[in-house]
Amino acid sequence: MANTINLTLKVWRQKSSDSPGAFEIYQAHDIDTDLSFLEMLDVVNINLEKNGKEPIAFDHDCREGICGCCGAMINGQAHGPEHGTTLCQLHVRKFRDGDTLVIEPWRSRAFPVVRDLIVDRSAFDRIIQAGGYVTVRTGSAPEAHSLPVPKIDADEAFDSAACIGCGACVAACPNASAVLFVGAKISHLALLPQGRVERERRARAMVERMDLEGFGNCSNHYECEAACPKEISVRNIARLNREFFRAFVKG
Amino acid sequence: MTLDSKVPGGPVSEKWTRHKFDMKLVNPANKRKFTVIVVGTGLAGASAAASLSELGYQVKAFCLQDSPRRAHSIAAQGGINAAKNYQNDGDSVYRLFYDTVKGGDYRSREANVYRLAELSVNIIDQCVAQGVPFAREYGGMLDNRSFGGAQVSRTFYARGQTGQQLLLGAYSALCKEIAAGGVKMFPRREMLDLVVVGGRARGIVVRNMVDGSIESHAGDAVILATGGYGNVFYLSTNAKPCNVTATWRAARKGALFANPCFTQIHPTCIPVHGDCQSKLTLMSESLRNDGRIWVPNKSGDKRPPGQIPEQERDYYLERKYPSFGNLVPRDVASRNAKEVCDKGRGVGSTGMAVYLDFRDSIQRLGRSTIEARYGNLFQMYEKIVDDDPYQVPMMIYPAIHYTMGGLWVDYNLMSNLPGLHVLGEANFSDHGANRLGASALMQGLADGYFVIPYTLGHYFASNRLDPVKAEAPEFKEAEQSARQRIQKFLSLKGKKTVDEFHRDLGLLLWDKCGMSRNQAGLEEALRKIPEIREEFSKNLVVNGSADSLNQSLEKAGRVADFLEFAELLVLDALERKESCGGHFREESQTEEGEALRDDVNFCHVSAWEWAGEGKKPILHKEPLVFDEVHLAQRSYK
Amino acid sequence: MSSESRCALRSSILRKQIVAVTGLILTGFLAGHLAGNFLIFLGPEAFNGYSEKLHAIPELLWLVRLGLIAAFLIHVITTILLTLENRQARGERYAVNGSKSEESLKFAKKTMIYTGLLVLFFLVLHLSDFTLSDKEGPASMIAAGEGNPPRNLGLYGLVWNSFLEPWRAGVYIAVMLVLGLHLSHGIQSLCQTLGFYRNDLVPGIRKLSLVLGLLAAIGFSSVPLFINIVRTPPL
Ligand SMILES: Cc1cc2nc3c(=O)[nH]c(=O)nc-3n(C[C@H](O)[C@H](O)[C@H](O)COP(=O)(O)OP(=O)(O)OC[C@H]3O[C@@H](n4cnc5c(N)ncnc54)[C@H](O)[C@@H]3O)c2cc1C
Ligand code: FES
Repeated sequence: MANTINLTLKVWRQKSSDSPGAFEIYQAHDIDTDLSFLEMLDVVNINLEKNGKEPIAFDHDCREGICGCCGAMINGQAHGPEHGTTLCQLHVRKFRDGDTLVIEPWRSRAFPVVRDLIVDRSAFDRIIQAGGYVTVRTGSAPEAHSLPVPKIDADEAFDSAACIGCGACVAACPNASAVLFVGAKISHLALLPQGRVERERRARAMVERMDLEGFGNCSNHYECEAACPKEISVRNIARLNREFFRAFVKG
Repeated sequence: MTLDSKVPGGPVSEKWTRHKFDMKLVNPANKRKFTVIVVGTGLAGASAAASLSELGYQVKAFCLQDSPRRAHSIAAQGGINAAKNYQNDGDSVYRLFYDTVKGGDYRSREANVYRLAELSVNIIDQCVAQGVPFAREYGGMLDNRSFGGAQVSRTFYARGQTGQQLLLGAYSALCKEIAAGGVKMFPRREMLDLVVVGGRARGIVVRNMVDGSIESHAGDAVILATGGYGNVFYLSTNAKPCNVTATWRAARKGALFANPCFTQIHPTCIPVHGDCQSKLTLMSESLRNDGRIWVPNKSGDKRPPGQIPEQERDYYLERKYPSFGNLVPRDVASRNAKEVCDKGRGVGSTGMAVYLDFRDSIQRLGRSTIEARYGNLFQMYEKIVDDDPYQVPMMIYPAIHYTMGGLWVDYNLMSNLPGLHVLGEANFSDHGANRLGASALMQGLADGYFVIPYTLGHYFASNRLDPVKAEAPEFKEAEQSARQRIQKFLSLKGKKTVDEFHRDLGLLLWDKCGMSRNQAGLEEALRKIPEIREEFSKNLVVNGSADSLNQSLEKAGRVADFLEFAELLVLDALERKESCGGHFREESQTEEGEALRDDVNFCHVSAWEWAGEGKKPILHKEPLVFDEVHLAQRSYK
Repeated sequence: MSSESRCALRSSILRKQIVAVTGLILTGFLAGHLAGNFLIFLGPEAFNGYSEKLHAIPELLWLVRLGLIAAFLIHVITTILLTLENRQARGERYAVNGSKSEESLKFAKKTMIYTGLLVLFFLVLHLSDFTLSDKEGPASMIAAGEGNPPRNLGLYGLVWNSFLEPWRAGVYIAVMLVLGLHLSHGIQSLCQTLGFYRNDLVPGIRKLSLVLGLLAAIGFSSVPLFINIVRTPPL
């Protein structure tokens, strides 16, 4: 039969971006350890709702670890204690009966809280809009095989492109820096011949936007890599640094 | 009402080329005078919005998520088909067309499917140019695999994250256009109504999901690319917010809803484990290439799998379908799993699962080969189920995965409501009664990149559109009714949460209108759905307010629409007395228990017209004509 | 300067790269300094001779000194500014601070600014003790061997005498350990910031950084240790 445990949740509640927030404590009783973390919150929410209270708001969509919607700090760890995992893929069995979990939203000046555990990550979209694309019009593409790409490059580009844009890197970084996110996109496109044409412009524009959004600076703590659910390497940051320098030198 | 599919004349292979020439063009200088509303920014919506903006139209794009990059398309794993014939294994546009018509069990429109196959090759070129990191061979060329039982290798893939990479490609094109000013993006907006002015779709009413405000947006055409309605079953492999609201609201405004009963069930999903489960996870179909599916011979055999000797196991797919074995199509594999479980031979704590066993392949090929092929899937399984599939067989069970039904559209992807265009999974699609693997991504992108940019221009060039403002009374009315609905939900103060109602509805549908359907069950469902709806309208509890972020309120609107739509789905299933594709009517089967199509009576698209509250919807039929592919019963024996 | 490159100068990454380059210069200086220190083991002639050679062309010496001072100031000021910015970037603090990183040298990373500031304060002392003080005065007098009259051993004598005071030696060694810690993260950090991303090199660079940090700490500490063990200079 299913195992169940009891948890104490200390959850950040905040009505909107301009109202103050505070922690509230909830008991999660008899939680089936096979539930995912978000399903555990669902159970807590149903109880809240039945007692006339507003449920805890949290972002979620695919619940498969690919859309990058979900995420929160669990006892100071982005997406909880398990490595290479999003919150929706974290399971209650990773906790022990009686544990107290402090659940907080991502904290960064660039990610204002929208409500409870939901933050506004539109800064990421604006960074991509600044240059995270190849300028190619629909219909103008050449035959796909006209440009061979070495398998190693394609595989490495994929490793970088695996970023789901969840924001855990920013949340975990002691400086709330976004360089892993930006580095992953820059690397993805710099590794492919299709992306190289615009590399200088892209690096300059994306970094400028990143700075404008109010993210911190990287001081090579590598907490981002440890928190990344897709285990994206900090080598992407090194590549970003080089791409940016190259763009600077080329003027 | 007569349904005019507007399929152009000429041989199937020339229809699209001719049609492109025959369609009228909009003067480049005039394009910026047209505003296009695109609802949904998944593969279909994002590609459409970006391409239309490139042409010079003013685009307003809407999505539910905080960013267009998170649309449900992101979850697609397996790959995307294209008739490139890079493998020199005999593929061609014609073969892809043929396979898709046959795979759809002859319930799709030939001309549309041919165009889809034709455009498939351009999609790959476009995506590669955007920087989509498809898998490659050592020579630097694109790699392909065979997928979903296809006899040629035509599937392009990016590890197990093809949907993600394609969506990021379309999203980047969209971002480029947002930066250029052609697209204005409205994230965290939920479309609550379609606005029809002078008989044409001219705008939408949305709720800003952050501050709750109700907004009207007017335009010259509306494009719905809002995905499928699989979540009507509550548990499905779809992302949580997938809904029918956008398409259903359009249907209530006069758009026809076609083939709602055509839903696809995927055979290899992780089984349901308990009442609090919120969604089902798909395990790639490719697992069936090396895994063997079995259940114990005896019902109620509760021994652990390792203790069940070989002669007491039933490899039922291999037994019943010797030539296809474990690789039979999705619908056949799913139905058989249900059948053995219904006989009490299912495994796992709920008895609703079958084994997918890799023991023999591990012995034959070695653990490292299996690890190289499926390592990430095994890892994912272990993460969710906490069992090691290298040691114990996986447990799988079918789950709702995709919906072939959707709003009816003509060859130009326009619904019967002028100005309303529907793309991607949201339209009734080119997949007939059953979709082949790796072809939904293809369809979404073909619609968005390569069809709508032409056909929408034709609509604009051939119609005189009067200016319409968001202050028009039609908008005010729609806003008003949206507000009333919201107030109603908040005022009920009942005892049952939205999720609980949703679960009730899902269980009922899955039971009566899931993998196999019969008249008695469908009629029972038709009686029970209104009961749930009735209780919903009295006993629902939604706390909080309308003017803030309120996720329960969002869900309440979606479930309310599912509760209305479910009735149509069941009605359609009841009316279609044949078995075809994903729709298996127990009354219509061969002696061996296989699906039996009835081409004499049902070779048509069923398109339903909303007749008003409490009235039976009106059925319109679009007959399907097959000039190229000859009607035949599928057989996998 | 074009407006574009001025804007780049304000950019987070370029400023980090400035810190990295100045760090690299200072690391190079430390390496030279350490090599010079080792001459102590060869006796007063070698050590003082080296010092005199350095002073032979004062213009050159001052040029180098100015360069180093500039590098140092830029390194310190930029880092302080970046650190202040980073504090702001978080906004509201976390109630619980955790980490998922399994790296062993988290301490070194977290304390870079503090270890750096400590070295800065020490430097002031260190300069006034040695560089700026009188190298021919009584502090340089050492009686080499039993019964011999004290001789003036110049800088050598000054260094020797001051390290004979246990608290000075203690403080010096402690600061050198801190410096080693700073370098153990700093060296690999500057490689990362300057864009070394090759998969085959990165693990090596990280190890090298650790080893170099350790070597610097041991190397610098070896002089006061040696002096306190021998107590009288082997002349
Ligand atoms: C687990 C899984 C795996 C799959 N694997 C494959 C595969 O390998 N190959 C393949 O070809 N297909 C696959 N599919 C199917 C395929 O992913 C989908 O059919 C396809 O991505 C649908 O794309 P779309 O653009 O039509 O809609 P979606 O991607 O669903 O996008 C819908 C958009 O509409 C928006 N929206 C919805 N409702 C509203 C509303 N009321 N108001 C405002 N906006 C709204 C959403 O925010 C979103 O932006 C898979 C599906 C699943 C579930
Ligand atoms: S909900 Fe999609 S990644 Fe967690």
